[in-house]
Amino acid sequence: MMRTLVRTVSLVVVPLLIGITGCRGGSPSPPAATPRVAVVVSTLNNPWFVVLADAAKLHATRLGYGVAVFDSQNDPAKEAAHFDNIIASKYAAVLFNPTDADGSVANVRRAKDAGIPVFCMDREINATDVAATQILSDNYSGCVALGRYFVKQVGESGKYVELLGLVGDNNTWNRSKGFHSVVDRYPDLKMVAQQSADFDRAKALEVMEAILQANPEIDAVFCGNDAMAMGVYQALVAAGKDTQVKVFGFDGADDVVKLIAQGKIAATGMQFPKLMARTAAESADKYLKGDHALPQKTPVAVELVQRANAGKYGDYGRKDTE
Amino acid sequence: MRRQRAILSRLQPLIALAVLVLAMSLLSDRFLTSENGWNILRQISVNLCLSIGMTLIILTAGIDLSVGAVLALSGAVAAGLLKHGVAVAALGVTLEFTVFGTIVAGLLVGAAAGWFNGIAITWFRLPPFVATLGMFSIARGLTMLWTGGFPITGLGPAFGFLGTGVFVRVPMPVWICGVLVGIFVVVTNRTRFGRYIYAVGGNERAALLSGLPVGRIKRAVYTLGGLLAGAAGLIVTARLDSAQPNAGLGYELDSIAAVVIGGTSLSGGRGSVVGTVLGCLIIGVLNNGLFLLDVSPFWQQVVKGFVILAAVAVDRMNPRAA
Amino acid sequence: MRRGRRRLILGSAVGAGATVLVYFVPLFHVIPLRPPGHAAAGAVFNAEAFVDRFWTERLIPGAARAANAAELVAAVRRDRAAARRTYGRSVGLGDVYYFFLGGMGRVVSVDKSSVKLSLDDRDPKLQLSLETGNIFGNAVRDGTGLLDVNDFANSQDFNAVSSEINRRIESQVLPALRNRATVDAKVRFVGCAEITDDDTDLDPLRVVPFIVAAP
Repeated sequence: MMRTLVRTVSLVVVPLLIGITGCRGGSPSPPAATPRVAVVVSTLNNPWFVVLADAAKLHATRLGYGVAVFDSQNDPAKEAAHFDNIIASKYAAVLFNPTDADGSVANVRRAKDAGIPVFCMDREINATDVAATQILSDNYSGCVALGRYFVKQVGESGKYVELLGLVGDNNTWNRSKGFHSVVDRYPDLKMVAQQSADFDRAKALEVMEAILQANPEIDAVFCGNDAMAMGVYQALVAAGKDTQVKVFGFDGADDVVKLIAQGKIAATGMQFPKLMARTAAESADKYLKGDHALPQKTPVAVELVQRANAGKYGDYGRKDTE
Repeated sequence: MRRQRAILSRLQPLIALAVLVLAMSLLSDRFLTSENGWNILRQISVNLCLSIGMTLIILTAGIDLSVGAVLALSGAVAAGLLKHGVAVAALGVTLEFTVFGTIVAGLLVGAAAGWFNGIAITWFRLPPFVATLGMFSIARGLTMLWTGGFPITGLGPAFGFLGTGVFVRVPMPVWICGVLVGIFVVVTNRTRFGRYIYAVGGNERAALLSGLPVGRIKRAVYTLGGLLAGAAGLIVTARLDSAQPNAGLGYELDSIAAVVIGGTSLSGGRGSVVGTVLGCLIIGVLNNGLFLLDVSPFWQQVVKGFVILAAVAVDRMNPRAA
Repeated sequence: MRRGRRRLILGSAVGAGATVLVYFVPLFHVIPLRPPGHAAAGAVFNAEAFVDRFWTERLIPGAARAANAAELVAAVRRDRAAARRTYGRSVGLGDVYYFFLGGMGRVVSVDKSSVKLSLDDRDPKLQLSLETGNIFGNAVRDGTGLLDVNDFANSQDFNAVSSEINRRIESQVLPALRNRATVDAKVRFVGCAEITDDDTDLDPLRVVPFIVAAP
């Protein structure tokens, strides 16, 4: 009898001890009077979003707030649960990276009704009256610029492959549409394959190998993000085609920027997660101190990184500012 | 003495839950509020729906890896029918579905998927792991095809009431789960069908030789599992006012965890729906508590894993009830 | 036998109950198929209609506020940063900015996708280029300051506006320009330039024209 009781209690207590002592959010708990800010990010499975979340946490902490990070795992249902908890715990503000432009609107509205201002980062929600402000990365225009550079580099005729990101992600299609709005105007530029590699480097490697089997003679590959661009580059190196095929990515990851400087990858679109996170944290601070005059949407331009200017960029930002 | 131990082993999940609740309320002052309590109940409702079905399946010594994908498929089909209807060009008409029709359709889709699982397992004698793994992929692919990769949103307040409505202060999802739990506790404890399920799980050969319609029982159990996954899909879709193509990813693991923590044995024949309810509550309270305590999302996953291991280990150490 | 009869009665009862239920609470309604192309109630943003109105009501009249091209190009040559402060317009955060300019120039050279103009015959270095190939980007949408991203429900609509403006320029403005552009001809223009990189985009300025006329 005693044994069962002990086993039962240990079933509960041991994991709890691990969880609590293991990591109490990483930062020491601020005194109760410090207002707390929640950072809700769509996923932590993608390094780009990890940078966004870390930067948001860093800047909010620097401004004197206690911060907790929530991972929605690309699931609006989990995101809704996070908002439940945030509202119940009475956080002062939310720095929010939505999972879905339509599905997340209800969550922001609930927070707003509970008196908690929400500051959207990177992705927008399809409503202009619920978030305090939205700091958005214009993926479409970034890929228009990338598409124009693509045509300049590859020429007005040739064969190319497109690797898409997660099919259920709004940004996947924003980027693809932006790219195609330029490239489809040149009928001699033919897309010989379009597959999804889920924004994942390993999957992109496999998908590219398979595509190279079917289409050995291609001129360029456009990837929806830099992780996939790295996978594609590795596949091309393995096939000995890395000098003849130009690779284009999107995001601004450090390893890709380095390869662009060496001329091995053609270009990428630099998004500025650190800048967006900092702006969101500062807007939240201003708002909480009484200044409610914030523009609803602040677009953050995506800049084209190519060999000539790669030296100006570092890890997810410009070398001089970050 | 043995009876005492047997009773205690069944009470194990309850003791664990009690200890957990006590610990959480001591560690966080925001835990024991009514708002938080309803949050927990609402958040476990989807998992509970899936887990009831999973309990029946695991009681027959089977497993179902497709519940998350079937959840997504039924939610997507329901949303699509509600929003766009079905155009029957041959007759020159459109079938515009009502909310009631949508619910029936969603449940039928889930039940059909479950029935296919049952057929694969009984007629084609595929191991449940393999059969449901196949359905996992099929259902996910069908969801992608149906939605084209985009979420289906804007389903209207009537349908949304299912997920967000409150009736006599109790949220609708909690009502739905409460009713389902009630039905299935009665089915497993007081009907012949329930006894058959335990018999098949306990010793399938003996059940077969005793003349029980093992094949039919199994098919019924998997169909019910699919039906409940359909119900869960409807709840999620109603709650978010959108059907996500990526809904339900990873939910099968959560439901298996809940069933196992609740004391149901993976080898079949032992366990109960009540135990599963407790298992869901334990996971829900743990998730909720770890949020309130600011534990990093990465550590939360580690803790959950440990809880599952501990639960199975403790279960293994118990002597088989007489 | 008794079990079979019991099942039959139970089954028919359920079936009858279900039929009655479905009669009162239908599963679906049957309605005649709408002919294709029948637009759904106007919740969908119509970029074409919007740009039509914007073009005639606000863009063309707003051309009067364009900066003088010759002055602007000279200012850029003297001091880039000062020129950006005086004439440049930024939207949101980032290092991209726009110029809104107009003036008159003499055609110096014509190639496949641009026309080079000399703005001042006394100063051969005062030149810019008008884009005549495919038009991409947000130069005209964002350069004049007449449109604000906050006036649109989402960025897809805003981007559709940009596409539509560019298409209109390609179909209505550029043919006239290409006709007019022979060496030594004089052209009056109003347009916008997008500067993403100071080193490559300022000399010569590449202007997307939305008004092209005889001097």
